[in-house]
Amino acid sequence: MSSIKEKFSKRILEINGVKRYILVRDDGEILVHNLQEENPETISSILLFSGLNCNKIRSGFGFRNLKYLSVSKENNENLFIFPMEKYFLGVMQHSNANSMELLKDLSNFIEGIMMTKSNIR
Amino acid sequence: MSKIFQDLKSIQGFIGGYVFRPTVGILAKEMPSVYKDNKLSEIGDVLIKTYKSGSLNFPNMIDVSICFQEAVIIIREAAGNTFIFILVDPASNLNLFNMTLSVLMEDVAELIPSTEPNIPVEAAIPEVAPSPVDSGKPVSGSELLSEGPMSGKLQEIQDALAMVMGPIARIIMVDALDEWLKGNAPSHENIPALADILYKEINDSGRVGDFKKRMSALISLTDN
Repeated sequence: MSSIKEKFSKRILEINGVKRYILVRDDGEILVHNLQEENPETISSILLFSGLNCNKIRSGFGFRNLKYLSVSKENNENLFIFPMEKYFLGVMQHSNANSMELLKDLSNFIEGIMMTKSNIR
Repeated sequence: MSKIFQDLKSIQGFIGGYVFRPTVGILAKEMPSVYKDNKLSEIGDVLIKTYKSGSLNFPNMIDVSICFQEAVIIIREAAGNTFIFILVDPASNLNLFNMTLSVLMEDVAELIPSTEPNIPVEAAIPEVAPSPVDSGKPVSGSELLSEGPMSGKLQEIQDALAMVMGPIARIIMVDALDEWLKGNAPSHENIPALADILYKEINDSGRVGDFKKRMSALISLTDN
């Protein structure tokens, strides 16, 4: 039987346009990833640092929840960061992916995960 | 109203925006009046940190967008460490805003020379602070770290910082250097002031203690 992490990996990679992903807990522990060229420690630091800053920005502007942060790159391998309670999910898209479609699919995926969040703890 | 915001305001879903240069302040803005300049500057500093956490690691980065329920914030860097932030409705055409921003980047860059001579003296000083050791005149923390006579010592400090803060050390270091340059000439004599800024940035008593030990060794080497 596959582990929860393997199931998570399988499911997220089934989403059209997902190239790389990393799931990090807010204490810095990397739960699961498929990064290759990129250093997971560096990417997890970006996720955590950005997530913490987004909280400051949110409260500064008086907004409610952060939905996602996206880093647009010239090669279109954009990075998306999603808050998931005490976790952050980072996703790098394939260069030929449609960002808007991917964002929609990832949002649906996360919504499903959050409904069964106890499974990944 | 700046020409930049005239163009952006014509797009449906535009909420507001401002042009910000960390060492100077707000260069142009078109924001709802509820947001005062000091608050926008505070948020601007955090937006830039967030941007730099990406740009330092992804050299081919174009921009950063942060999507909240109420608004999407798009962050772009124009020439010379000057940034534009715009807030737009999440349901609006983000591609249109991104394309318009690309076209407007030259206009944003043009704000720099036309605005700086008119800024208050106390705000202008850090930007042009002369340095006795700085023949190359680096003006940003990033430049100071990568070139010039202080680069070696600053790299050592960054390495020490990395020992306690990990990969995020460069981001913290560049921010601290920018802050340091606001009130100090970049000289070895002023490194203790840089250390004080870094202690505040680390903001964790255990890590600060560890870093202080490493810094004291580096500072004593500087003294000798």
